[in-house]
Amino acid sequence: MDSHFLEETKDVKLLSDIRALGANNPILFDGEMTTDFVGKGINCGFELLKSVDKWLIDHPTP
Amino acid sequence: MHDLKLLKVINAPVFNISPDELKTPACKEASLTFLRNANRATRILQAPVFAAGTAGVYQAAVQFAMADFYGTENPTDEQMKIRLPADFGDKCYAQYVKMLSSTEPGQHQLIMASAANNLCLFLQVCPKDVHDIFESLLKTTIILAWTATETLLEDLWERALNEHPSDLCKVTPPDKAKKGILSEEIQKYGFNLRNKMGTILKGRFKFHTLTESRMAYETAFSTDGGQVNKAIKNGYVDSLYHLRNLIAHNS
Repeated sequence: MDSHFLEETKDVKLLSDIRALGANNPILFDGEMTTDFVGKGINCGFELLKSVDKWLIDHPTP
Repeated sequence: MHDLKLLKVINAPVFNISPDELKTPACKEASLTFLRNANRATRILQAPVFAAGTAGVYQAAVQFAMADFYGTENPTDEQMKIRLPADFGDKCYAQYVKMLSSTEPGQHQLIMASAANNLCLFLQVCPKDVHDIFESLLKTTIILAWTATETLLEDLWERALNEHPSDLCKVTPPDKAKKGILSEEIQKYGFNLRNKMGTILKGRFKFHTLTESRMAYETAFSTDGGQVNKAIKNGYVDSLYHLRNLIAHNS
């Protein structure tokens, strides 16, 4: 993990535990954190799909 | 070597959307690619555990077939001298298929949990290179999950604007030089821009950067787009994006 990553993610609360490892230390990936980030990240995609779908339905083409 | 906690990947979700959940063609079509990419990511995540589980079931099938052949689960040394028939491999495979098809969902979960436990024990004593390969698979999953998300962001935006240009095409691209539509672009589509506005305008944004993706959605969905922009601003989207960049550029 480099200083660029630390700077870029300073406002991302979900990465605070990872940032706490400090610069020049490797992030140790494990099944728990990967499943969490992947599962919940992908779910955001589904939320986006549903919200765009609702928007298009609520705003019918004139 | 750190604990890879592979038991947790068994709970990785399998994503699905019921046919009635999305109504508009734009979202239905965008969801198909996203589903495929998303499930590819979780399958890679679970691949080592599935491989170990499959090997475990096959081992049990071989033991079952041997017990059937020798008439006992614990053949003596004398019995073991009897040559196995040429089709013994086929019998093992048939037994394996039978065991898989008769496995209840609950049993399947137990098999995978047992496989994950065995893998974790193995990973505690294996060479570091092997441990690193398994960790690389986890990192690959992060990259695939972000790729699925990035593809969705661009694909969905394009399709939504194609389907609903009148309200959504009031976009202000970050590159002001590209404002407006070039005559070459109009020519490209035979002077018919019906259902093409998203396709034309998507080039104004760099969807591989999260900042510009968000800008694209914020400008298109500036009216009543609260829920749309809330979904794209979720911290898990940021997390996937930054972790992917870190893995890809720093590995």
